[in-house]
Amino acid sequence: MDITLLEFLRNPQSTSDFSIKDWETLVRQGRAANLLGRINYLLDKENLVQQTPQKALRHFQAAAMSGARQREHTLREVAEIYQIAAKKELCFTVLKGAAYVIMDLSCSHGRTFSDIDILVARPDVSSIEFGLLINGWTRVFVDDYDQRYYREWMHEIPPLRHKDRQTVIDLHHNILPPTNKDSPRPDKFCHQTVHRPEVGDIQVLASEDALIHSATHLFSESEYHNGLRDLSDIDLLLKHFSAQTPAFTSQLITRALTLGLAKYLYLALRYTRLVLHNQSGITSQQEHQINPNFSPLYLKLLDFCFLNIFLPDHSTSRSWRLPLAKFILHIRGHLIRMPLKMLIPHLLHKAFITPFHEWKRQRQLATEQKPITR
Amino acid sequence: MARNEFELRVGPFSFFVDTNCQIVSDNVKATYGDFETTSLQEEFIDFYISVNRPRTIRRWYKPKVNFYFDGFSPFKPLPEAQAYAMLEWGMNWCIANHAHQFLILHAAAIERKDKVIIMPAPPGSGKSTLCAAMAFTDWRLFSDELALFSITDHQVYPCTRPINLKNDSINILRDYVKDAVFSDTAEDTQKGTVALLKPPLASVETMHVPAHPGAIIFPQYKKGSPAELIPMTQLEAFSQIIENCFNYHTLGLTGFRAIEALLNKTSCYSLSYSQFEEANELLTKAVS
Repeated sequence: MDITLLEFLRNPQSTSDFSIKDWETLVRQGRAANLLGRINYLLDKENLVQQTPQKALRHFQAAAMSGARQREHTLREVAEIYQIAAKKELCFTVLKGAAYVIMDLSCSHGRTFSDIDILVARPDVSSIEFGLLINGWTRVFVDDYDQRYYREWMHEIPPLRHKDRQTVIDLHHNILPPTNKDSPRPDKFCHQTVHRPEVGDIQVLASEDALIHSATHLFSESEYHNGLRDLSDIDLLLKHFSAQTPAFTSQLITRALTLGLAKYLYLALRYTRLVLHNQSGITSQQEHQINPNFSPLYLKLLDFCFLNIFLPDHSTSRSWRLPLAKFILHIRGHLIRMPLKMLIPHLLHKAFITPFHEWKRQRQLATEQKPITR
Repeated sequence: MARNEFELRVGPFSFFVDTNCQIVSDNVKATYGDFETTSLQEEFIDFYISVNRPRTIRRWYKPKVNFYFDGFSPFKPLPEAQAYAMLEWGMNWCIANHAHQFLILHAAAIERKDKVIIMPAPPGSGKSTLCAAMAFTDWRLFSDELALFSITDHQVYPCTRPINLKNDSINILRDYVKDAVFSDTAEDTQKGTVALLKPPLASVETMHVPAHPGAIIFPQYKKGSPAELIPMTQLEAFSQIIENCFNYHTLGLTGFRAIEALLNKTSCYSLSYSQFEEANELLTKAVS
């Protein structure tokens, strides 16, 4: 069975023989995969808007409008963070979705995301956090256990939400939890500065590192709600950067080896090739350098999981394999996040103690809110 | 459980509805009876929606129903008695969140001689009641909830559907409209008692014909008061339009330009009324 959305992402020109029902399926799968805005961008880029049926085009354009608005909002938020950091003479690096907007990359058009990710040096975390807190951001409620979980073990602090605009900032000091055995040294990252007239001189990761981060993030996840969207990001990043710099792929490999994240890059290249037919121009010799030499059986399992998880989660493309892939990847995500001796107590806490505390908290809230009766 | 599937064409949108609730099938049959029934099998469908009883114990124990938009459930479940109202609210949600080719106002809209009166108002101001009464008098019904102003051709598009009436309005309209066909009444909903009124045949038959905006009128039912139409400044109207707009924040500058175009084509009033006849006279005057 050919999946309409994948067909489109591999080659947007394939729409030339789409029936009206194919377009409908593209809209439905695109919505499920959170890719409607991207479809609109690709149609525009490939000069296919004229031949797109109006009825389908409306849905793509509506999503693109939301994306365009979020772009504006993102730039405004980053400008504000910039002001706050500048007052304290601190540096920060914008990551992922917001960074793609700052760098004006093709994958940022029509893309929506829920939070702004920034990276600061670990000693600066509390200082930036404090700056944000006195400028309208508030701590999202997390219980004491989660507070400790984030602060001690994770690579980010609990999310901060703006009191009026409801925008969320994830403040990171690394790109992987320190408990992950592949966690890189954050000072090894290369940065670049992008000048945006509306915002200022904003620091983002160097192109190679930005792509490696994207790959690392996606292939160390335990939840894949936006899996295909993120894989398509990597596909577009690869195409964009290789078109700009011919030596990009070889630099990419060097950087991945330096950071110790070659395994994640290998998976990203493998699945952009298998799922989206990306010919990243990597030679077999280069690929050999980053090949983690998984056992054939493990590779088969990974293929099963990823080739299914990167299908749109929609009634027209879903099979019994998807829930199984989700389940296995959920476990995999946890296993690589922390060693078993930490993971098991953590999961036990989440399974039994957290619900109990939550129940107690809800009960307390209910009694506090009870109307006063005579 | 009997499953029912049907297609609904509502103004510029098409819906594919799938339900296993008898209440939904019966009420759709009653209130959408005059709608086109040609199959959409070969056509583009905008929204796949369903209202379903879950296949869990809740099927029998205090049955609740869920609304799904193509597999995604934006609301909390509701008691089964409210299933049909939930379908209508879900359809509103689909349109308000996705049809950004329009400036979408939380407003009733009625038309006469190619002049549409848009009546934005918060719930409880009597806009649906007035709209229903007018739709069965001299006016063509566009919508009692969603006024669709096209951002490209600056016309208003009908979104003709059953009219959502609440509490006392239900009996007022039962008395006012001869042979009115109502859906079952759902009690104790978030909005009180709710029933849907089958739209007039003439409005359903012309639901693909847009028209130009004529006036923006903010109605307010005032018990016992004579009908009164008071001109409003553009600035006042502008801020109220934004407050009653579903997608102003999504459209951004385009939304601002659309409201500008709308205000330049219309005159704005506030209307207080207690009698439909008097209100009808003033509404007619406002666009003549």
